[in-house]
Amino acid sequence: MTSIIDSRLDIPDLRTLTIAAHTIAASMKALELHDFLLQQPGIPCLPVLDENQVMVGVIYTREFLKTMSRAFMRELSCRLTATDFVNRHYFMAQINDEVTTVLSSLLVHDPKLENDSIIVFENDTLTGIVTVANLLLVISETQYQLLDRMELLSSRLKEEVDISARLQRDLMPNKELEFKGFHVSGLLCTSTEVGGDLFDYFIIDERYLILAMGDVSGHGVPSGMVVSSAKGALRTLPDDILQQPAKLLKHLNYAVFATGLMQRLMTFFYIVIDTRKMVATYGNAGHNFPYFYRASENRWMQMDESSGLPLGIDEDEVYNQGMIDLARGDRIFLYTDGLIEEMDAAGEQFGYERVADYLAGIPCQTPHEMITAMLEELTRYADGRTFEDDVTMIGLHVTEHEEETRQRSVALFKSTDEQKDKIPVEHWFRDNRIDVLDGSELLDEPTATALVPVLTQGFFDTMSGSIPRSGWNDAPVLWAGIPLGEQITRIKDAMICRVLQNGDSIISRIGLNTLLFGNDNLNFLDLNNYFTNTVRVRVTHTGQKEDVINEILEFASRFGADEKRPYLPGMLPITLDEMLENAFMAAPESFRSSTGSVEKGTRRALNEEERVEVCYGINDKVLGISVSDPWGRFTPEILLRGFEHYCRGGEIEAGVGGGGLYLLWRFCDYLHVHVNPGRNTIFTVFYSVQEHIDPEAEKSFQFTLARNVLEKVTRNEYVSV
Amino acid sequence: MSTYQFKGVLSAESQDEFRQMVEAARSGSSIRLDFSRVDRINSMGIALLLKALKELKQAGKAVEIAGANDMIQASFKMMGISSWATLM
Repeated sequence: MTSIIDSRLDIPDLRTLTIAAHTIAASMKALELHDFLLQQPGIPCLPVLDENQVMVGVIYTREFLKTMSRAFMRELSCRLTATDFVNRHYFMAQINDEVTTVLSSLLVHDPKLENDSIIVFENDTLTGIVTVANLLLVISETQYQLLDRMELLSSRLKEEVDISARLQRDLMPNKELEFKGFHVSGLLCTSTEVGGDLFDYFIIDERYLILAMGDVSGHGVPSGMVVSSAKGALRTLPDDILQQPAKLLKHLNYAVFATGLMQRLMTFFYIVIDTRKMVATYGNAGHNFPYFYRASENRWMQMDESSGLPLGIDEDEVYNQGMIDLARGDRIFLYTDGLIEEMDAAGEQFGYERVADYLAGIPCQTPHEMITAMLEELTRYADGRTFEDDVTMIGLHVTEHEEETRQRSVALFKSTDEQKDKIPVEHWFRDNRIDVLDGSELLDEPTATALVPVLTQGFFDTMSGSIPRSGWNDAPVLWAGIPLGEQITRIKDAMICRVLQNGDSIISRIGLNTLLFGNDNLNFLDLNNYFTNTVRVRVTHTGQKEDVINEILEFASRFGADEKRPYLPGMLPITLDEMLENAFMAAPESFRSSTGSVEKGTRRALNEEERVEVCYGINDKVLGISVSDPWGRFTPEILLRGFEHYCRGGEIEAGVGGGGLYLLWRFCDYLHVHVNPGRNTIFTVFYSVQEHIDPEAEKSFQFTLARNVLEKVTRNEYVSV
Repeated sequence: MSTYQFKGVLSAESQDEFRQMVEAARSGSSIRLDFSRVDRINSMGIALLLKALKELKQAGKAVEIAGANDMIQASFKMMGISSWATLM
């Protein structure tokens, strides 16, 4: 009886672990918060208080910084406040709760430990926060002491061990991963309930594939908890550190060292694969050199260009990086020393030579087959005995290059379901719960390569006749795989006015999300909310055209946008000219004749009602320009008719619209027309400022309609109801 | 061959210049349009140019356009100008 009470006394509560929490006001600007968190590293989370000092939720630093690091988030978030980022499903505990109880409840609440801290209350009062890493460390120490006293191994402790084992399994990737032609599989074989090995693989920024493997000296509960802590740290570091192996190792080393667990060291191998550049960068903290198979040379070699001390020995250890180019057919094999040191009945180690020989003898297989075959070989070698140490392996195969994957996404119609699953853009749509329908039903053309994600099912019910009033806005987006010119008539007849060209690089620069859903409810794509440096100019006289053009050319040049885009200074004036002329002539005939502003090509002051506004801004990816008029009369029919005429080689005729729109579309990198019927029409163009885009290529374009439309939309005009 | 030189920005405002050009071409059998000093031509300018080129063709004149910058040449191709004049 007494001993049980003693053992219970060994389990601390949260009091000693709790650190004071910074709190912030719900009204704090997102950008201000972003800067604050960058200046104050080490704050895991921030409780958010409303004006009455009542806690409304928590902002997790990592979650927040990750969101902010997404493309354009800085620009998009200039109007947002802390409220917009608040996580209301945070985990909280009472300060007098025991650490083990807290962990058990935490695992129910957040099984993958995605959030790295716990909010601590004393009754109803917020007292601070506890980091999950600290919680795990204390539990590990506690369990270590308890393990030492085997007589106290109560059923309660067994449960803890079970929790630890489960926790560790939860933290390991449990399935194979396929990403842009990279195929990864991992396997962990623990020799005791809780292993001292770690492996992980995941994707960051939709581009980098991360492979990590670690091995803590010793095993059992304490090493298992170090694994959990290291893994926790891996998940809490920001993406820019995760992309750089040397930096990552330095941070991880510091974390392992600083936790004071110097009796446990960890070897660690870390690989970052840039799937776009097809390059693997790696760093090594005292881990066994992985094997790399270069298909072009048909030979296995070791990844031995980087080496350093295991984590947790020297706080100041500096790690270097190695680099290899990857190509189709290449393979990587990572393992822990359990594989090398496993012995046969005679006491001889499995050894590097056998591993190398066996790898060389394996015919081209999947990574899963590669590592399971290796495990079978080892099991045979150990004659079926339990392994002495944990054995962990990761296999990677480069099955195809991203470019090839992209090419394949062109043949959509006749592809089987199985093939469709391999198309990245479809994955994206699926992940974002956007229905994708087979476009062949719509375009009746087996060779047309179109993917139609339909934003509302209603589209197909209304394909003939007039479009319902919300129709254009909820119209499908055509993911066009063949040039517009070859299918423009079908597109026009099907009344598709949102066309994104497959493989068009501007799409990711602007952001697919923005292109599909807009960044502003009323204006769909509002440059004011998109850039942080937006300039707005009111045009009051048609003669201002050249001044506006020069102003924007100067603006683009000031940001160096013309350096990487040699044709930009030639293309910009053309698109601006057409957008402005369009706006100058946007007023209805009746208004123009009543104010005497009918003639094209006469310089005149704009009437007070003819509110023409130009907006432009730039970031590191795109330059955007919009021109708006206050009439909102433009219909998609005008746009599509013009495109159809000129795509089929039609000639320009004075007085027949569409020629300017066609030039506008051809001379920008992306064209967007948004109409708020009777209120305004906004033409927006984007230019990439990073790379050369073929000025002759057909560009993506979209026509969208404001959601709060009161007018009925027929095919050609807006009619008030 | 007579040469007619344009300069600056050609647009709806250039209507008179195109008219003068058609007049000037009356005398000879061929005409060269010097575009080396043209910065830009917009869709209205192109429409006016095409109208003028058609008139010249009807009058049996051969027209060549010289010195147009890359952007102008690209728009001429897009707008069907290249079938009415020789681009030099």
